Amino acid sequence: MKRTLLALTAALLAGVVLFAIRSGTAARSGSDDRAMAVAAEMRAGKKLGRQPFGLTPNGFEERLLFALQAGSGVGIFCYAYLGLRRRRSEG
Amino acid sequence: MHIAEGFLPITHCAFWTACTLPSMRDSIRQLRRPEVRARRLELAAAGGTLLLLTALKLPSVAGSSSHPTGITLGTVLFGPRVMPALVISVLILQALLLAHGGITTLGANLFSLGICGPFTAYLAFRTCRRFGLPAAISAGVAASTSSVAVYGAAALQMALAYPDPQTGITGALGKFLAVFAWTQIPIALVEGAMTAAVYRLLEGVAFTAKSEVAR
Repeated sequence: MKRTLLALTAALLAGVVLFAIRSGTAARSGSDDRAMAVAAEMRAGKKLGRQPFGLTPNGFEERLLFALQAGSGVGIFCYAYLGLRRRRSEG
Repeated sequence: MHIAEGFLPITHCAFWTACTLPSMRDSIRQLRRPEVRARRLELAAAGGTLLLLTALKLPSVAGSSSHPTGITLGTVLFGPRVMPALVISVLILQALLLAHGGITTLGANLFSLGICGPFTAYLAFRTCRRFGLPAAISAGVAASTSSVAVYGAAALQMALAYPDPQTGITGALGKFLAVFAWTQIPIALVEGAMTAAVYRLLEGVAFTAKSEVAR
């Protein structure tokens, strides 16, 4: 039961990560166009008051960085999970 | 769902930052507690989940993106007061490296993701436990509820900044909520299922992974 659950969770996580990486949108500068569209509706001609600090990654770089972040998250989680399992087996 | 750099007027940015300062201070103090430090691996699991889930920018029908919040596991394991310090590290990372969110909107994003979300998750989890639901299911329900709460809080922040000329803040809130509902509600449901599964997984190995609020 536990193994099935583990496999299902891993498959789900991997699927979501792959899906997000493969079909991640080329969202420009991390800003969400939908919010800007609504804001422009309230205040015509509204533009962002400030641009993001530092270099703005392009679509590919952004996807890569998000994948790195997700990978770090998976790595840290696995490290913690294995550590907890080992601690439990040691009693 | 982070508010982008430059989206909010500077007075709003200052207001939301001021609102989050006491919680940040308290959160750092919470992290220094011996009980929390003794459970570093569980804290790492919560941080890993937060990093992973906030990185999953899912494509949406509107041609933009949204992502899960990932705050519930940490909230359930350590309580909502620990979360702002964890959340701010992810927000800073994303603002500086990914141009996602922003430095001026850090306070507003921290308020919705690091304070509003965890406290909603805490209340939802506690309520579910009071009704006798299993901890994993309660964590799932808390994740979905908090995800919706974060999206609601962010929509409110944007509505306060951009009130509708005719219908005011309420009208703008309705518009912001409606435009994001397409993606945020399915994401909230998926996040609930994922959080329940991850909680169940952790519960199996960590004898201390009992919810602080469930005891």
